[in-house]
Amino acid sequence: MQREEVLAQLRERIVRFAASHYAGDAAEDLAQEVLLLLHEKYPHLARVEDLLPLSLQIARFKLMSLRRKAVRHGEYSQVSITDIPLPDPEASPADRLERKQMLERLMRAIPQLGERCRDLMRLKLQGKSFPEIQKIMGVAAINTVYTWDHRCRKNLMDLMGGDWEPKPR
Amino acid sequence: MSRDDIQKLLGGYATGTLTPEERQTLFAAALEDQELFDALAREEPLREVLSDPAARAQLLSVLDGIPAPWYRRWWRPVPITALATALLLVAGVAIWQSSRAPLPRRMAKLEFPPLPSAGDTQSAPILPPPPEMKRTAPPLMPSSLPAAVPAAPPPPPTESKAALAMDKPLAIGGTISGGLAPPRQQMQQNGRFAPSAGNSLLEQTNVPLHGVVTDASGAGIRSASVVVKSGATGQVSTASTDERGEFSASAVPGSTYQVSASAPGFRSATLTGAAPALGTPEPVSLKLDVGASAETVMVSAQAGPVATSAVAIETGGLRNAAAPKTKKAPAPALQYQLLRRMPGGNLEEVAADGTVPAGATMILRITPSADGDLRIVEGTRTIASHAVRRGKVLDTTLPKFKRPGRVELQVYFPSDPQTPVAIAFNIQ
Repeated sequence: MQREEVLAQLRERIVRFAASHYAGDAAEDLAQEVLLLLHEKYPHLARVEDLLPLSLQIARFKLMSLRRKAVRHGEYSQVSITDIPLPDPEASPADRLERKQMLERLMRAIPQLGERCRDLMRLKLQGKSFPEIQKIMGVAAINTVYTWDHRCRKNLMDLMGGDWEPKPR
Repeated sequence: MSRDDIQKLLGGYATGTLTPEERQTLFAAALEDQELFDALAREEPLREVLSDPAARAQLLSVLDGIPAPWYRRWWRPVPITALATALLLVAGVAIWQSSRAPLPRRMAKLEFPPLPSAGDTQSAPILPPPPEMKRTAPPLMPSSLPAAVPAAPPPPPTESKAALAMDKPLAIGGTISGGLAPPRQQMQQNGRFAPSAGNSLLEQTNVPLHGVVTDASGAGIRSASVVVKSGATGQVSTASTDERGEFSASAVPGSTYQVSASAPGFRSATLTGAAPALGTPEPVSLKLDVGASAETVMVSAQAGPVATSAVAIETGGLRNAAAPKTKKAPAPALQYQLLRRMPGGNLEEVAADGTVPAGATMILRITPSADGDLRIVEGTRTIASHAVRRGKVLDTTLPKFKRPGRVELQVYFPSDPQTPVAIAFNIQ
């Protein structure tokens, strides 16, 4: 798949995703800003496995900025795409606080998981891939590991309130 | 992969553990599938957190700090515990095996025929024929029994038995009954089974010897003195009977023993027997007849196909046909004089075993040689009891005896029941 085709499909996905959070115009603008950034900053990336996660990071950063401004000023202020750098986790104290709170929620939820889920989570945090986990746990089929992880992820999400992030007030 | 399978890869996106193939599959599918794309977008916050190595380390510490479930905590040490227990058991058994003495090995089985009836004892030979041994064990000899069995002639093919009065009570002269084990010497004389004197197979500690002392009616005699003397070692064991006449002493296994019983107002009786080398001897029974202390019943019993007995009863002393001599009775603790009051008031001495008419007034004049309570007994009935002083003459009138027959009285100090004085006369 060509880069232009990937970017076109990405735009459609981002618009629909943003539309589920904001009004249609804001969603269109958000998607446009993401694509512009990809176009200007990352022209060398062409594969979908590179462009898609990057677009997700940019879109999240944009959405968080919009949310903060809307909360802070009570109005919508568009963020200039020229001012948007790559997401830097350590850039904003607000981001650090959100990550810290999420980490605390994770630390409270993980002990409530079952033993197998905790083992899976431990191996994943240690950087083990699914095929490696399959060998370590002595599972015959890798689909079994996929299924276990899918259920564990859902359990963990339920323990954290149905989503990784708290619902916006 | 189906859509559902691809959706299961979401869990590896946040942790960054997808393989390149899985990433390509997931992202290509997400590009086509809006729902999957939204799910990936919702994974982004978690991916951000987990991209921090410090956060990962914190979560791992949380996971490592969770205690293992009880069944794992119990299960994990099991192999180690089982191994340690097995090693301890093996070590314990090895130590125990090395420290304990070798167990005696059963080499042969002796069987004894039942004791013949009491009526056969008069014509029985003194010594029983040697007991035959029936070999039931393999022909392996322990080192402690060298050449005993190999040198002996082979046992008869048919079952042969040595006799011993074990099953049936031995009745001798109607006065003593008991069961005896085979003497160890007899087994040695037999030649088929001749263990040395120090053979550990036969060396045991003393074994209990139980018995009962009864009077002529079969009632138990209380507080009778019983002395058991070992013929091999000379060891003496004393006992006294309880209210039922039963006693418990000890005997040396594999050797002869001599049981003597005495009680005030009764003739003492002695029984000679043998304790078996293995096991406990059969209970013995001694029946004491009324009489003076100088009258002793000696009975020797031998084990064998026909038990033999030699009984000698003598008044005023001891005489034994085959048994060793016994010591003389001690000197009486008093002197007496039996008097008869004649018509007119005169007193006339009655000789020993003399005859007096029925209903005559009899006076017993006693000069005690010690202080104490003196008791006059006829049979088992006490007819008089007086406190006497040494050298002071006591005249006591006896109850009138109106029934013709022999009267036997016992005069003794209860504090010294071993030395009663017997006084006998006849009523005509």
